[in-house]
Amino acid sequence: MNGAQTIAPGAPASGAMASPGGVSAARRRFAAFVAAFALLVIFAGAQVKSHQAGLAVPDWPLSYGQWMPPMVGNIFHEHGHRIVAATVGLLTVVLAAWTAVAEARRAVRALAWWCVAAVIAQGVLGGLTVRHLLPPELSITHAVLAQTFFVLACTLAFVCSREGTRSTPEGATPEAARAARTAGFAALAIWVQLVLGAVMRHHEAGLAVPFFPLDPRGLPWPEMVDGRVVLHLLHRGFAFVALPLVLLAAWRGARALPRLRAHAALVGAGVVAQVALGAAVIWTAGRSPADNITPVVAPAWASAHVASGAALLAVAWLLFLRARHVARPAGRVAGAGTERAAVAAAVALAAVMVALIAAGPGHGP
Amino acid sequence: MLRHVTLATLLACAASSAASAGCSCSEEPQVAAAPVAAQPAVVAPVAGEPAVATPAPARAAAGAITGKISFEGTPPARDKVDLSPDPVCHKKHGDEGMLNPVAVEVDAGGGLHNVFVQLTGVPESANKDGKDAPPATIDQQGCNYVPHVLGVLKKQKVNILNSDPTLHNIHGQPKTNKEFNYAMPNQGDVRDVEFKKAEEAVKIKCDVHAWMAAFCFVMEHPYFAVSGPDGSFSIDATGLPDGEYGVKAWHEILGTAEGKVTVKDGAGTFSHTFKK
Repeated sequence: MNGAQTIAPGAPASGAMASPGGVSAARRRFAAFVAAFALLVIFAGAQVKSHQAGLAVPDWPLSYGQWMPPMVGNIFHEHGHRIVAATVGLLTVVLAAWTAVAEARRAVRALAWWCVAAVIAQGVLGGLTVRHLLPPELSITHAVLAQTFFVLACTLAFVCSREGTRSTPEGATPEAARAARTAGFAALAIWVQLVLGAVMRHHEAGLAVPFFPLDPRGLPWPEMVDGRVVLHLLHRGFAFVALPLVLLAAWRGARALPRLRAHAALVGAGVVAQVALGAAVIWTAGRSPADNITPVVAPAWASAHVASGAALLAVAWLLFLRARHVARPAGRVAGAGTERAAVAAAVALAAVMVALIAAGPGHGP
Repeated sequence: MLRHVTLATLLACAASSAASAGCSCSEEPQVAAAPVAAQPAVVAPVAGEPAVATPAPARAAAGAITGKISFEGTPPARDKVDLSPDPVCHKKHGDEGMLNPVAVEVDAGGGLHNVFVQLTGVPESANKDGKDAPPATIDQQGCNYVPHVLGVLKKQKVNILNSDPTLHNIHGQPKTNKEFNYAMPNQGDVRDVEFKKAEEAVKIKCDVHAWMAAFCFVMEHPYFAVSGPDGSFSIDATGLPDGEYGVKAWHEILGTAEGKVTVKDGAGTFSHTFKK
C-alpha cells in the first residue's frame, strides 16, 4: 500500500466546490493559509534570534506568569513569536481534524497528523530552549524543525491543491523525471544549507567573518581562524554547492516542463536574492547596544535572510513535487509520496529526540 | 554597624557631590565602600533609596591601598540608548535620554570610572568566602544596573532588586558558575543569587532591555575595589601581610592592566593610566 490512488478519467468531484480529488475549496485554501502562516512564524522566530530576545521571557509556558505580559522591549519579539507559534499550532490541529474527516486519501490524513506531531514537538522544543537557557543544540534543532514543519505544511497544501488532486495530465518523459530529481536534490541542498545557517547563527558565528566577499588581503577568510570562523565558512562554502544546484534545477525545470516555467524562474531568482540577502547581513552589521563594540546583525536583514531561505526551500520543494507529479505515469494523483514524507518527518522527529537527550539537563536556574 | 555604614555613605556622597557637579543624593544612590575587609562592596541604604553595592569615590584610609585609575586620550563617543521600546524607561529619562552605560567614563581630571582593581598573589591564608558577609546588591533602577561594576566574595549573597515599574529579567552569564535567568516582573521584586566559585567579569544582562549590562567579579579574597567617578579607589588592607603584590585593573572596554604594589604597614599606593 503506497497511498497512491488512481482516478478514472472524468470521475465526478464530490461536492459543488470540491476539486477533482475531493478537496473542498475551503480546505484547499485553509491548507495554503496554514503553510503561509508557518512562514510568518519562521520570520517571527528569526526576529527573536536577531534581537537576542530568546531569554527576554524567562519562563514557559507562561510569560512572566501571565498569558499576556506587557509587550515592552524584547518581550515584544519573544512573546510575539509565542503567540504566532501557538496560532499556527492551533491552525494545524484544525486542519488535521478537518482532513481526518473530509479526506479520502489515507496518506494525506497521515501527513496532516504528522504536521500536528511536528508542530507540537516544535512548541515543546521552544519551551525547552527557554528553560535550558538556549543551549545551541536545542536552538538549532528548534530552527531546523521549524523549516521541516514548513516543508510538511507546504506538502500538505500541495496535495490538497487543485493540481495536487488532479490526475496527471501528461505522461512521464525522461526530461521531466530528470528535472524532478534535480529539483529534489536542490531542495535537499537548501535544507542542508539552512541547517548550516542555524548551526552558525546559534553558535554566534553569523559575523565571525565580518566581510563579504573578500577582506583587504583579497582572501575570503580572516587572519585569525577559530571554530566560529570555520562554522561561518561552512555556511558560505556550502553556498557554492547549493547555488549552482538550485540554478540547475530551475533551468532544467523551465526547459523540461513549460507549464512550470514561471515556478522554475521563481526558484532561480529566489536563490540569487537569498545570496544577496546573505551578503547584506554582513554589510549592514552594526554594534551591540549593550557595549557599542560587539558587532551585531541588523535584525531586519538577518530575519529576512532566514525567512527567505525558508521560502526558497518551499518553492524548490514545491517545484520538485510539481515536476514529479507531471513526470509520473498518467492517471495518478499526488499522495503516493506523502507516506514517504511522513517517514521523513518521523526521522526528523527522532533526530529531535536524540538532540534533546544529547543536550542534557542544561543550566536552568 | 548600620550607622557607620550610613555615615560612610553620606561622607562619600558629599565627596562625590563636590567632585562631580550635577550629582545629588536625592537623584542618584551614592554608596561607599565600607572599611570592612570582608565586604569591599558594601550595602548602604541612603535616604529612601534601596541599598546598593557601589563603585564609590574612594577615600584615603589607614591600612588601605589607595590610588587612582586615569585615562589619557579621547574616549570613544557614548551613544544615547534608544529607550523607545519601553515607555517606562523612556519616561524615566525624559527627553534627555540615557547614555550607553558601557562606556569609557572619564571625569574632568582624567579619572576613569568603574575600573575593577584587585590584588593578585595574595596568600591563600587571606582567602575567605562571603557566607557571613552582608549581601551585596544590584538594583535595576531607571532601566540600568546600579552598580555597573561590583565585586563580591564567593558564596556571598547578592540581592537583586527591581526598583523599576517595568519588567526585567536578570540573566547572569558566568562561565564557571551556574548560569541563571529570572523573571522580575514587579517593582520591588527581590531575588538572591550566589556564586560558588571565583570568576572574573561575570556579565549580567537584561534580555528585555538590550543595553542593560553589569559586571560582577567573584573573588577568593577581599582585597579589591571599584574606582569611583574620579578614578580613585581604596582597598582595605586589613589582615594583609606586608610585601609586594600584583595589581590587576580591569575596564570593560579598555581591558586589563597589570602592575605591582608594595604594602607596608597595611598601606600602599597604585596608580595606572589607560591610554587610547
